Amino acid sequence: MLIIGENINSSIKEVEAAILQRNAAYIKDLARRQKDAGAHYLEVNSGLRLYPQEEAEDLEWLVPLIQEETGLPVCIDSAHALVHRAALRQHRGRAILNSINGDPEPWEEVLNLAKEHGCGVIALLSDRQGIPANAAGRLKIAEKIVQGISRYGLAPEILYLDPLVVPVSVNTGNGPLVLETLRELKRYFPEVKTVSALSNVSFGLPRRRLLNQAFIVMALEAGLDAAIINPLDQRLMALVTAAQALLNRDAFCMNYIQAFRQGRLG
Amino acid sequence: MDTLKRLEEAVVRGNMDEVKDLTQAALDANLAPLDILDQGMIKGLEVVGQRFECQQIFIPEMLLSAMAMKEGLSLLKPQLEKGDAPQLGKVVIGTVEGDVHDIGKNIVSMMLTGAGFQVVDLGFDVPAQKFLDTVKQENADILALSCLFTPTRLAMKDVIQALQEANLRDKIKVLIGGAPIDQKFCDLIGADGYAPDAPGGVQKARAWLGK
Repeated sequence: MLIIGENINSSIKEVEAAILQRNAAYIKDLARRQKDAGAHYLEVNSGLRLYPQEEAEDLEWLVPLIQEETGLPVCIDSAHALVHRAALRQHRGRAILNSINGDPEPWEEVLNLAKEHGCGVIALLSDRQGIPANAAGRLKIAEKIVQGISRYGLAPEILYLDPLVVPVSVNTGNGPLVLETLRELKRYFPEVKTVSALSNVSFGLPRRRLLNQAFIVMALEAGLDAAIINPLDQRLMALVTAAQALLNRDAFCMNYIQAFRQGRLG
Repeated sequence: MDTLKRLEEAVVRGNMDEVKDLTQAALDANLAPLDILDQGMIKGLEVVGQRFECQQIFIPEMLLSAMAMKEGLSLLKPQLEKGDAPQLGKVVIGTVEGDVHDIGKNIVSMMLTGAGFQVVDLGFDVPAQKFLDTVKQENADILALSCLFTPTRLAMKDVIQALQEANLRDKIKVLIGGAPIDQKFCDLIGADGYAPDAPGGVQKARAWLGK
């Protein structure tokens, strides 16, 4: 599974402060630790800025800093194409753009950028009508997006569809709904990848990590290809490794064994 | 233990049947509907708020309490409207334009209703003009704005600006909340208050209306 480290996000107070103060040492350390913990991509988000221009300047600083420290590609999380564009100018390798959804208005700008720079694209299964309450509604949006990207000359393989995780604390049906949506996505769009920022599932409940740990195992079985998670949670990462060995996603269990030798299984 | 104390505790436990039975018992004992609300249910809500804040209780428990209050209020409401008891006030609530997240807003809406407010819920992705029209039409006391998706925060500012342009700003209190909202942002856009959670929002709304 593709691990996208979520920690460089301005919604975390200390990270916001580090971005505002241009504290390079703090950001580099956080990037390095995520890489060492097994992240394949590092997400960057400075969305707490009021204006997109400030956000763009933050990312122009963050992206080269993170890449020089780790060599990892970046998942650029912003609501504004101008931020994506600014970050991509500094980026080396295959970035992932986070995100579009079922509303076609921003597609042209974001998808042309993706084509020009050879990026992956995360798309959320929601639109102006909201987050559909059932898997069928989310699949309908998925279909619209899959058809949409082909009009821009992009292959379905670059797409990461996010089924959208809503906390189980407000409706206990939300867990099974995500798993069902993942299964249906894999069935109807086998060439498209799936992604989830799945720690939302535990919002509003105690011991959130425990719920995230249980849920990632289930999500892997249901067809999750990529996860935006905290790689510094060792137990979470160990469970990903174990689950992949059990799901025939780890040839000869070599990753599992290697993780054991490296002391990463706890 | 007296009925109102038991009602308070039933609200805290989120026990719908008990809240309904105890509200009925209090009405049968000829207690004033407004006292049942203030000294029973609202006291319970205050406890819920305190416990939620220090993480002794969690969102599902808060939801149950809100649902239980709604049950109790359905019995109180006809009495409250019939008597000469003053109305608690009217709130127009919604998630701002561009944002489709309504879970938090729904909890606040439910709690305000349970606390006796008349609530006009406009749903999500609500344009500033719609807020403005509704506030005018309903002659509302409080406008409550929610957002979760960070880039939509500034739509709250647009709503306040629309109120100003319509010369309504000093006639209504604006309450804001949501994940990317804090006191700093509240001051920045000139809202009247910010609440970090649903019980906090209800408390603020009550305080503004002199409760």
